[in-house]
Amino acid sequence: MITFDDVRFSYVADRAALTIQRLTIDPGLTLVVGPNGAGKSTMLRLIAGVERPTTGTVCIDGHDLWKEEVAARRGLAYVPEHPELTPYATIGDTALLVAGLRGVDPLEAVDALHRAGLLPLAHRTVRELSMGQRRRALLATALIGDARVLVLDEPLETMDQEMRAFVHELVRERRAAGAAVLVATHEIEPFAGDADAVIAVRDGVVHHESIGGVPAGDRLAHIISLARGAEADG
Amino acid sequence: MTSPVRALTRFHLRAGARVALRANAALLGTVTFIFGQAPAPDALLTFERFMIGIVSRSATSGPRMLFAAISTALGATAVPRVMLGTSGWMRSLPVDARTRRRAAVAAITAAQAIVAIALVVFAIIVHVVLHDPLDWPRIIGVPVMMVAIAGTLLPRQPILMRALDAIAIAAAIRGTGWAVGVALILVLISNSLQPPVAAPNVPKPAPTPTALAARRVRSPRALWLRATWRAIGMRRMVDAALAAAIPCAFAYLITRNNPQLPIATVERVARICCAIGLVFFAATATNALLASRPPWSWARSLPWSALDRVIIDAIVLGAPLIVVVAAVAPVHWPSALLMLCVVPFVGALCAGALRGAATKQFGAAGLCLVIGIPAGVAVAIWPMLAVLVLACTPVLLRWAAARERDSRATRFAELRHSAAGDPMWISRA
Repeated sequence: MITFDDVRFSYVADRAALTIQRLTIDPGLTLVVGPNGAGKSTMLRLIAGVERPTTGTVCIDGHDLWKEEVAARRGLAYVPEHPELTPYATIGDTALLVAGLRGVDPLEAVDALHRAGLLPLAHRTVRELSMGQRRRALLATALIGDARVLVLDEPLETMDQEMRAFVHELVRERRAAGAAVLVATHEIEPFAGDADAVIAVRDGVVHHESIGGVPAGDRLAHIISLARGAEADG
Repeated sequence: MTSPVRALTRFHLRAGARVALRANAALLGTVTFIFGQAPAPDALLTFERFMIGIVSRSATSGPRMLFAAISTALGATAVPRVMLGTSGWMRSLPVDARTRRRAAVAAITAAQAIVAIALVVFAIIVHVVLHDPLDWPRIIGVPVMMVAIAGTLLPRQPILMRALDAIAIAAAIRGTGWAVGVALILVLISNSLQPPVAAPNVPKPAPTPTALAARRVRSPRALWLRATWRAIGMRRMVDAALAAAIPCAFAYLITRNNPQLPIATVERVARICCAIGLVFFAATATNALLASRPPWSWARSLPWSALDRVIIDAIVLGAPLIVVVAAVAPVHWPSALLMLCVVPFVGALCAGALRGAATKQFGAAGLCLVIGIPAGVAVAIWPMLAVLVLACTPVLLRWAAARERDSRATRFAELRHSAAGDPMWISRA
């Protein structure tokens, strides 16, 4: 479970990029929708512990991300929109780093690379990979350990059909395992059927709505209307 | 000069060589500062001797060796800038390997412009003001030496070409008529040879799953330590170590040239120079790491603390400082050993200064110098303060961790990394 408490985040002083009074994100699939520049990626970075809120707290399973850094991040897997991998380590090194920090067997890292189709490339650095392969590498790290919080920023971008299916499988798998899965995306349709909640971000302000009660057939239209509302307002 | 060589040379001059020319300005400033600080009659006399040694008859080849060293340093600075991208898309251009080499040699030679300008100025001063006869083979030998140095510095070339250029440098430094003639012929030969086209890419074998799993290091932090070390690299670390060479040399020269100095003064000189050397080294290395390591904001989402990350940086930046202590040890080893206490402090300081430094005019070095020099010199003057400095190290690490947490990891990410690999570029270039 993810909780925001009186969170305000600014990239520059006196201009809030995101403001969240109080928000609780329960296990299940939550779609984060909104226009470009609304603050979706910023919100995911706050959840992933990449950016620290200017004020307020973000907690994962009751652990403050910036006070109990290790405990809060133990079950967290983040796949950013831009594949940020250091050029000074191989893909294999990166996977082993994640396995080591999450305290799991290194064979899980090998297995994750295998599932992502990257095992033959494990000795390569990010500079020797295509954009799609870099994103695969980050997806592979999300498979290491049992992530209780999975944060995916535009996960379908630059992905081929095989990897799109892989992403869907990953999302369904983690959702079924009781994890909180957050997906920021402009491609709503592929995830609409499984979505449990929607967060519409408008100009740095979020609107959270559970859509568990919406009939399966109406969900896509409902989410699109929320997203369009956000875009119109944004 | 054939047309492709001219086109390529013009391109290099407008791109990599132009950027590399900045180092000329830095060198000129340093030389002016050093001579400006020296006592007037001594400095002028030394400068006169130096000029005569370059363009006129002189018994010693010391000034010409120094000229060669300066040319080499400027050329070495230019090589990564000129060669950047030449192994990529530029290979698709209709130019043969020999033309590429000649153009690169011309560009790297041009990046040593200050040496050629100095040669002309020296010749005029020596002839017109000092009324000394000019030695033409020596004067002609300098540009030959510059071209040979450029040829030697080029990466990935056959050993024969490098050897020809290296011999040409030695002959040009000698400066006699026949030696310069030989140097000229050798340079012409090395530039007329056809270098091989790029070697075929030899793929590394992919590791087997068991081999990959077995490659587990003792700690994931060790993996990050290794990646951080790779980011800064041995070459940049050696460059940073050179910043410490001046204070260390001061310690050596002051104590060796003044044997009558009381032991207390020798101790103090050793400690002060060691402290300044430590901070210079660390500040330069920190700026190098700032420029070379791209932000890895995703790593902040992994289950480790900000403190873990700054400790790793503090180790990478602090451990090599032992070299400075070792360099000062011959002057007075107990004093040098005492300054070891400052090493963890400086490492932690640099790790903290690294955070949020991308938008600072002086990068991380400004903060390192402003805090590090007074702290180090204070310990050098009052050794008892070493205990206080050691005690402050954990506090500094916590301060660094707080800066790490507060840094905006994803803002203006592209500004933090010197994509061109230019160490003179910090943040606002």
